[in-house]
Amino acid sequence: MKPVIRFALTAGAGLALAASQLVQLPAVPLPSTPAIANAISVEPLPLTISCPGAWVEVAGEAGTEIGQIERIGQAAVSSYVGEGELETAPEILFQQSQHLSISAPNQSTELLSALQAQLVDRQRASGLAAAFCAQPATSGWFVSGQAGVGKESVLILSNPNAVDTQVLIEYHLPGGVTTERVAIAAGEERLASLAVSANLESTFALRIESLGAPISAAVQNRYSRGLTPLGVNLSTKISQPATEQWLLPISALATGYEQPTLRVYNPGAETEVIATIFGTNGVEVIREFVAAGSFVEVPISFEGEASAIQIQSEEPVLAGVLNPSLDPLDRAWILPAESFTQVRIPLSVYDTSLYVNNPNATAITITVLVQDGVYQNYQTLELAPFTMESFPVSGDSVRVESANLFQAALEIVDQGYAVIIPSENQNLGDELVVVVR
Amino acid sequence: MSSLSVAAVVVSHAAPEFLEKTLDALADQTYKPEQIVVVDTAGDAQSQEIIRSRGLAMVQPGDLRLGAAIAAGIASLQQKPNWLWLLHDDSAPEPNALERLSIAAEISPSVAVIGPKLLRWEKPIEIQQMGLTLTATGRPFLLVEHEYDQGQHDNTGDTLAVSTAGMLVALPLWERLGGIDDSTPTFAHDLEFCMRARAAGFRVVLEASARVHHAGLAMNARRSRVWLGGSRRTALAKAHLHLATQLMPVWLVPIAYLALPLAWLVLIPKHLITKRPARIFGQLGGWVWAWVTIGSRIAARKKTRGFGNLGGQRALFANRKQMRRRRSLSYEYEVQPSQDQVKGIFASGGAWVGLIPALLGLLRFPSGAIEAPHLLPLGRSLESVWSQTGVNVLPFLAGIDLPSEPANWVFSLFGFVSPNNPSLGLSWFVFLAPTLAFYGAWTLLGQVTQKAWLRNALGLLYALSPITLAVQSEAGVLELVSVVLVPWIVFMLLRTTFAYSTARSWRWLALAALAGAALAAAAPTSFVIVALFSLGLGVVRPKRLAILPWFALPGVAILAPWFAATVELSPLMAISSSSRLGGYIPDSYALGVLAFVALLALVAILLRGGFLNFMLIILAAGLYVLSGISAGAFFAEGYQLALLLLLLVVPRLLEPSGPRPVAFGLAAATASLAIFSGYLGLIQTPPSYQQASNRLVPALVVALADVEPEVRTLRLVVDDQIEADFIWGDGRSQDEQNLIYSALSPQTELTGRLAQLAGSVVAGNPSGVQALLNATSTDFVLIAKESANYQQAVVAISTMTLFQASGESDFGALFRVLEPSRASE
Repeated sequence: MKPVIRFALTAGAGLALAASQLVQLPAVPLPSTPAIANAISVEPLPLTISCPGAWVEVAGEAGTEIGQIERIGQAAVSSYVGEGELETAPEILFQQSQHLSISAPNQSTELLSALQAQLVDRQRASGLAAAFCAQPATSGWFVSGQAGVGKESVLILSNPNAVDTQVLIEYHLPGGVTTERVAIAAGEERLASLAVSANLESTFALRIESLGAPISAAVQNRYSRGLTPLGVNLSTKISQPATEQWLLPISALATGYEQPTLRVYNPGAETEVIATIFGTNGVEVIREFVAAGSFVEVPISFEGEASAIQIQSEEPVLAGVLNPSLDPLDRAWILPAESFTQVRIPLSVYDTSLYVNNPNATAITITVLVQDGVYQNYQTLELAPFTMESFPVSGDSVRVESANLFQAALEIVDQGYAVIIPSENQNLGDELVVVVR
Repeated sequence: MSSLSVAAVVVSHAAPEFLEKTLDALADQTYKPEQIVVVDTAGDAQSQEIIRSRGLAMVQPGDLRLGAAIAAGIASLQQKPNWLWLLHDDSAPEPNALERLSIAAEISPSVAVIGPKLLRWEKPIEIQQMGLTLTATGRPFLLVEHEYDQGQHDNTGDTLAVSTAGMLVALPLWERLGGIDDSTPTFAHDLEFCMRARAAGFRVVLEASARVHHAGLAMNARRSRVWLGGSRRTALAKAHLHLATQLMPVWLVPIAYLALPLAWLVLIPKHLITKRPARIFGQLGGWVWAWVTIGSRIAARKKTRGFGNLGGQRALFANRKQMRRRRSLSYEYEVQPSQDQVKGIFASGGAWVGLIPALLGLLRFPSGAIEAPHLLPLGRSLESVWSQTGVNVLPFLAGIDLPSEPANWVFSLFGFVSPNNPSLGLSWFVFLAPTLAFYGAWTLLGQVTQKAWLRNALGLLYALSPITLAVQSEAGVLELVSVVLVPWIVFMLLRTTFAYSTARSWRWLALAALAGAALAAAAPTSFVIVALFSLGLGVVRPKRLAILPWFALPGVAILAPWFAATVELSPLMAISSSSRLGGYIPDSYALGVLAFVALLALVAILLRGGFLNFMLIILAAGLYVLSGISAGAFFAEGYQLALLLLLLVVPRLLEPSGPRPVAFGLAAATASLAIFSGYLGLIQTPPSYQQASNRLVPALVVALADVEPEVRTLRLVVDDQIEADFIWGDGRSQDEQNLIYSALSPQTELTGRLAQLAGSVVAGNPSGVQALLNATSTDFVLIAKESANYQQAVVAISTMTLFQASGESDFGALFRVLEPSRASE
């Protein structure tokens, strides 16, 4: 073949190869029909929430009655019932665990929600033990375990079902994990001091798992220094490890006395935890590496009066803040808040502030409705990104709603200090979407 | 002149046209037999007229076999001769045949059987037979056949056996041996008789100067099948088995007979490869006959050995040199080794080089089913996979009228490899794909170069290219089928196009079409490209234009239902639905390899020119562009096709014959690149797939499905949205997946019921659940482990007495539907 032709062919082939690198035909999407989502409405199981009951005192008021564990006083329940009737009318004042149940569709806190509160005034314990009455669960974590000198944790388990169940309790201690199984008869409750099981560790986490039907669980904490009680706390908020969670509100109630403490527990692989503190006057970031199966406790300082903390990590972790209050002298565990588009929280008789947090990167509009008898007080406000607003509320209940996700909590600073962290009350059923393949 | 007393016995069986000439030749003998008797066993009127017209004695004993016919002829003789001259009606002796035989008979008293040289009736210049012998296994063998008679074999003396056509045998010996045993297969008559004669201490010689013209009606299957005892092949097989029984040691006889079926099976591929398929059926008939008549075989063996020792006769058997010589004579001309000394795959080392990919990937040695994000295990048995192949009802909901995926044909092939665990066959294929791709590329490269090391190096580069290894790493099974098959198909199409005869073209096309069918099932896109290529070849060689288009027929037949179902949906779906993987973008290393080869191809054109090579590069560029289409399809095989085209151009760098150092350097460079690619791809990069169990649902469901295939399981993934999957039998394996179904998501009456059932179950509301369970025929409910609301759903269903908890596993929580009567207890 003549050299000219060879060169021409080579050039042509080279151009074709070069062009093949440059030419990219447009993507042609494959046809696909989205699977039809069938909207199904089924009457869900009756909605049941559980209030853990009155304060549990261990070893008597003086602490000398070894082996004694009993309920002291009575807790008061504040409840909101929407469209429906409770199967059993609640006792406003009660000592044992109380379960409220309602059969109705459209289940949420708007159908049924409750909280309990009790002022404890004992020789070794004083403060406000208040918590949201949560829906029984099959498993979950409490990160607020504390034992040892000046600290006490009590586990309150209650079985609201008609069948017995067995509960697996895992104690995640700094030195390892121990387990325990307990059986709870139908309708019965079990109170247990965790000091011995937790080897008197000052820091531990609990994992509760029901091997049958869901159960109600709560952890009660008591703090003292010498003969001086420093406060009490009641936590009903069962958490799950997560890679992103919000803790709020953390109010500066003991400035100059004691700082709030952030506790993080990592049940999985080693990870870095980033805590972003959104104070009213600024943002602060704390980074900590948490080894697998380890705890980290970090004191928190922030600017302003109250803050919300965003916890982020690559591996799911558990987090909580122990916040002290100087006046009143009390403590409260602030556990991860749930996100809502709508939530109804009953109000107690104590001075209460509502805190609403916008966790989004865009501003949101929220509507707050405070109901007092037949009167309703509306308020609409806009929350800037990553900001939290608070205002005092009083009445029977408060409802917060928005088109976007938000977090909400109640802070009671009265004769004691407590933080009420609501959780959604719902059984699967109403407005289900089923895709059939 | 001889003084023997000879009587001629002619056996006639309905061949009057040959009998007439035989009798005329008999009358022309220079040494006339004292007596001639013709035994007519067929009752043929024309034959009888011929006999009568010559005034010969005739015996009509009825339809007897040869031995009985001859005996009847002997019995009718007026006087008892010393010698018998046996003739068939199709054996016409030359005038001095008997004279020459008689002289030979007088040489030695031990010579008791003398046979003539048999020439072809219609072509007397050609030798038909000069004595009979056996192979070492007892198969009848002709030392001389179809050769021109130039006296080259006339020095033959003693031989193992001679044909009864023209045989001169001493009557005392005949009587002592009992003549021809009619229970012996036809083609073994003469051999057995002569072996007995030898065992009795007599000699059998061939007298080449005595010539008989023989039509060989029996040997050429022109006698009736009853006469032969079946087809010619069957008759030969019977003779082989009969004689082998007599020769082998007694302890070997039962073993050999038990092994006959296995031997038959083992020989089938040999007969197919040597293009003698009729032997398969012949040997089958022989095997069955041997089993049925084993008593007669043993009796014949005993009788033969009763005459004496057979050991000394092995010296007269055919040796390997004689057999090779006979085989070589079957060619028109002797095959000369090529001056180029083209080396085969073993001689060139290609067979061993092809194992390098397997060795590099040894850590991925398959041990069971594999699974990947896009790949589930196959059905648990070949039957399971096959039942989903080529069907028009899919195992979804209550049965959906859609065609099954063409890819199931390929999965069935894996099932044939490993019937009890088709997934293992698939795993083996994934593991061996680069090796198989090498052999295909090596074969195809033989069309453009004969340099062994270049073929090895370029084939290795094709097999270990980053694209091939990326596909293998992702367990892109269907794409690997394309990578493996395309070189073979292109090779076969080239052979089809350039074959020297039409018959050969059709044979190659048949192979190409079968391979093309597998390619169509796996990768319709590649199949379309190859089909267009075949048409292009037809344009290049118009003589084959009538043959080449048929290549696509089997593939089109397999794809037709799929096309028909998808064409309304989207024509693109039809050609892209082969893919199992997601979008693919070649990484920098893959691009580098493509660029390297492209550069070599450009240099090849620059140095050697070639319009065809130019077109190959244009095609490669076009394929590269096409491969960039992202249509939900993974077109890595397109990149690999482009690489293959470029590799075909590269050898032009050295054609017609390039400098050896350059060739070696080129081979070394490509081989090094290939091995480095293999190292990166196979050793350094872990595969994306993992070993898996081929069980897709809990064991209880599988166990019940084995007994009742109608078992149905409702699998629920309970997140914010509930996904309900209605699973048939033992789970939805890969062969039960269907792209059209996924795209259409058809809804039926059952869909609403299942949705309601799913909702009720998850909510724990038993109202109406029993009726829904009956209407949907659900037997199990499985709450999937990955459900966000797993515990909640399990608790909800646990509250319902309609279900019985059946355990928890990695699949989730299983609940069995109780029968209504049991649920109410």
